[in-house]
Amino acid sequence: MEFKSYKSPDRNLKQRRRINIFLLLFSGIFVVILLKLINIQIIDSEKYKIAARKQYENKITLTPYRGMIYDRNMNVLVSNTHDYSFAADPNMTDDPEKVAELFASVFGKSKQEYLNKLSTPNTSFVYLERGVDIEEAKGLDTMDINGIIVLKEPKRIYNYGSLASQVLGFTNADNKGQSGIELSMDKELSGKEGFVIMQRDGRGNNRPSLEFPRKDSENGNNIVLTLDINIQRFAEEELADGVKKFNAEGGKVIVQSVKTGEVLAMSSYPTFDPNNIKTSDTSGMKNAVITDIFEPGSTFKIITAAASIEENLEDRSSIIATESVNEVKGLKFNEDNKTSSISFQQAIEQSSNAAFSKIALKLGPEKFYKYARDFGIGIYNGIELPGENKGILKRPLDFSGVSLPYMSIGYEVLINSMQLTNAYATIANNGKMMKSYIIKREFSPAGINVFEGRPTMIRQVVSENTAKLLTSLFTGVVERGTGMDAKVEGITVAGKTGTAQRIIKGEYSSSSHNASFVGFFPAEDPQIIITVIINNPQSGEYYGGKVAAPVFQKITTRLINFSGASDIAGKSFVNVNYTGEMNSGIVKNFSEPSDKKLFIPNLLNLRYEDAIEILKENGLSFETVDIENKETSGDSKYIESQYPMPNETVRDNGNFSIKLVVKERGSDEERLLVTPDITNLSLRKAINVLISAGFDADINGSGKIIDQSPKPGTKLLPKSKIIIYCQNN
Amino acid sequence: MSNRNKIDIWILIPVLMLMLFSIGVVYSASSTFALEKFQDSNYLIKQHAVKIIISIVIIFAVARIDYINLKGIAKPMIWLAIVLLIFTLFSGRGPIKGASRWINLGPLSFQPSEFARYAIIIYVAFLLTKKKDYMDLLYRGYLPVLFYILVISGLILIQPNFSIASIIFMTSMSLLFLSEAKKKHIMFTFAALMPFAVLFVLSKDYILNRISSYSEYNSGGSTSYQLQQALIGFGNGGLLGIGPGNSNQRDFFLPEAHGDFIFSIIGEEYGFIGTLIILSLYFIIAVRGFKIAKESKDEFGKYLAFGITMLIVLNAVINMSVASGVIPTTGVTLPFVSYGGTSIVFSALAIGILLNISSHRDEISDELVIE
Repeated sequence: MEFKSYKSPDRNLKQRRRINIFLLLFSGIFVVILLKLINIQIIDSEKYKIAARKQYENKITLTPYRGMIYDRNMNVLVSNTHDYSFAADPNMTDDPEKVAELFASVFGKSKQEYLNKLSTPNTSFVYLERGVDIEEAKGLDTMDINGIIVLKEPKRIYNYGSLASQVLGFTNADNKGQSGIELSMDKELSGKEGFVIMQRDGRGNNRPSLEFPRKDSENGNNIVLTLDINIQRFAEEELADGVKKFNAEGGKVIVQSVKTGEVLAMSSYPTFDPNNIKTSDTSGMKNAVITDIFEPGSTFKIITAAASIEENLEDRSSIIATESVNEVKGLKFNEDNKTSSISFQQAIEQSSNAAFSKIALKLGPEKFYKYARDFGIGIYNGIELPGENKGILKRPLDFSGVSLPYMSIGYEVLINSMQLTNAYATIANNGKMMKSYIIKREFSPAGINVFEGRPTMIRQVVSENTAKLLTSLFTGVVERGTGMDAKVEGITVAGKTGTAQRIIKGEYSSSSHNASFVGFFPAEDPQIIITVIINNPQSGEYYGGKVAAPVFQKITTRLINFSGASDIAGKSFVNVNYTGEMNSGIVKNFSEPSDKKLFIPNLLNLRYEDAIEILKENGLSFETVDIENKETSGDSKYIESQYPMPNETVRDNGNFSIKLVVKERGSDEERLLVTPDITNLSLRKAINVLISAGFDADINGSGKIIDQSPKPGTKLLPKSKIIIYCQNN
Repeated sequence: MSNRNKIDIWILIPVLMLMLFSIGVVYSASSTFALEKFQDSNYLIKQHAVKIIISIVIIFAVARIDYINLKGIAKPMIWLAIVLLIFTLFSGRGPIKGASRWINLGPLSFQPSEFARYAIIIYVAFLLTKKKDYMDLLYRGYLPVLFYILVISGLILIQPNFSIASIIFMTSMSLLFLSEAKKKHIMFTFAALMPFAVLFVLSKDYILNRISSYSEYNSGGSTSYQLQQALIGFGNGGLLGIGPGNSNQRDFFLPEAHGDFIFSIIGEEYGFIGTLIILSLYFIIAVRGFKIAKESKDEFGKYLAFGITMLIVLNAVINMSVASGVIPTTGVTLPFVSYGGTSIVFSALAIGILLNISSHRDEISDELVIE
């Protein structure tokens, strides 16, 4: 037994064998791990690489700026600004109580409301506030709060408020055009979205990195309209006055260039303010000039008259017997003089319904229809605006026994105001019909013309002689006929009145009318045509000559007397012997954005005093927001946040000031880090140095590092942003 | 002792390589976390580097101290371990990650289980040597040894730290397996303890959750976030890795990136080549450690060498298996590599002992000389 303690070779062998069993066991485990690693790292590697990229990359859409919209004299009608939206990732919000309190204090709502949003389950994105104006945000947009996402959302700004609003239209919350030019030119104005792929960490924060795969956004093209904002203002103001004065339902006005077809002004009343869209009231949003169709009444006699002259059926002095027709099926023929016959000239000047129904019968339905078509009735004008209604022109086939006399005086036919305007413009333009257009020019952000609107002749509708004769007859309407209220001192106006009974409950009403006047001037060489339509005037007066003609007269007077910046308004239309005063004080002065650019320095985390010094050096004014509301010496205060952010360039509008949010330093003092010197380093190295020193980097320019802000050696809080200035040699 | 052999450099080199490698990996893996927590991306690596330097000094110092001396302090050590473990249960630093595992001695706060695992190996080796003639006897040999094993494992188990308790138990039992203890005793021990182990697992939700999420993963379902991130790290590294210091996973994607899941960061930055090298280094340690055990002429040295090797390699393979999703998640560090505070120092002590044993491999034990 005493030998047992000696290691017998036998026992040693047994132990070795047992150790080998363990080694074998381990070898097995190693092989299993090895196989598993081969599986993950080699065989399935692609799958994990995709999963990795997906979680590292954060694709941020770069929103382009929408193109601007100008009037013909390059006044900016529509430009851009942006709103802020605040959203939260409830999972990432460290201190919902505090966040809710902050939002409640900024937006004046209940804290509970935000707390509820912040506790929304199963989501990583919930809007707290949308469409917040820069002013309203009170610097909240510059604060870096865990879990709070600040979104900069572009927004349109309509510089002239409701002026031309129906032509311009408006955009929705996603900045997509909803009506007007904003809708019809949406594709051109929108530009192209870009993106930048940011790297992010496991908490969803973006990490600074050099290689951002990036596709820059392309800003939208700019649109120049044929509108003249001054004329637009005259037209809208006078229309509104007229509608109110005659206690009417609404009205429409178009001012157009006779020779080119350019629309100079266009509006309907009521109107709306595109800067302050209320979805509950959409009545003013449609452009009634092209969307509304109506029975024109007497102004439509132009078709009958032009056709008859062109067909040599009538002449200025032709005599028309009127005794047999006093009424056509319920429609009153408002003949003042019960004479048995009148001349063609008198028929136009007095707007005789009886005479015109006779004239039309002589012309016949086929001819009447042909000329109506040629004048563009029942056909789209094709103007670059959405929602045009082409109206209804019955074919001769569908005429009833009374259709022709009805239609000759503007009933049983539905037209829009622009078609009416173009019929008269054709006569004013020596029988040549021009296409109406409103896009003068489209140019790219780089200033290159993409499209230029040009005058287009559609057809010669009637001969020059016919046109000249009609023009002189229309002059008579204003000189001594129904349109005498349209007379304007200094120029000869040609025009025609219209007073149409409106259909109420299927019958022509004797108490509801559309009063209209279409006129152009100067009659010797017509340049401008203006159509005014007043719907349902209720003040007692309802004749076109009494209701619409005075509005025409006022617009025209203002237009010819205007001496401000406009290439189309002014004295040029006036007879040489005109002595009327020119006035220019009509248009409000809109401040032009100045081109002075200000560069915003980086003040974040600087001592308050140092920040003030830098601002003074740069000649920037500032406002201080002390979020703790404590009266303490500037010594222990530092800049918590600033607006605008560092490294931005802003336009100086004269009273620009930078907002500083100041905070008590307090216990943060000991956490301060010293900024390293990164000049002379490579950009990649510099970023690494800054990040590992606990700072954030922001790069200005490209190329070699030439400077940094703040300077090396400055004491800053961790995560402060250091701007690296770079320049190519 | 003049005829002492050279220490086994085939143990020393892999260990030193792992330690030096760990400085680079821990630096990369901990920088983002340290920057956020301590406003200094170098904060953790500084602490780690100091411990690595201390550990290397310890390895060389301990390698010069005759391991036979351990016999003298084996008993005090095991009692110290028991006292510390009991002390931890009642006045531990409070629940860290849901368990009381720490003792706070100012800057020297450490996990007593780190100390206890080596104390029990040393003591079991000592007992097996001392009771070598009686190990086949149940009451005189087997049960007294088993008693200490169960006390230490049990105290760690109720912290609770199931994985470390298991590793200690398995290692100690493998020492018994190597001794003259009867196979039937060992088998019976396992059979008797199995129901308790199962009961324990069932009573702990956190273990069950890990197991169920693991089986979900194995059946192709959703994986626990941590394991999924670990796999993305390995997979994204591919064959060659994305380069030293370039880890993305450390940026708050992979929790415990510089601790229990550092193997995934190695896979990410150094690719399959990197993980293969790490795997090989541990394999070399296993082969050489067992070789030292086999060649030791001294019973105590043999058991000690085997126990130390077993403990370190078992730790390593469990850690690597967890990180690569071979077994359910459990919190075990990767020896010499993880940022793990004191564990690296204790591992260094053990390696020092192992190296010293290797330098005695041709000697006849003191005991025999005395006899």
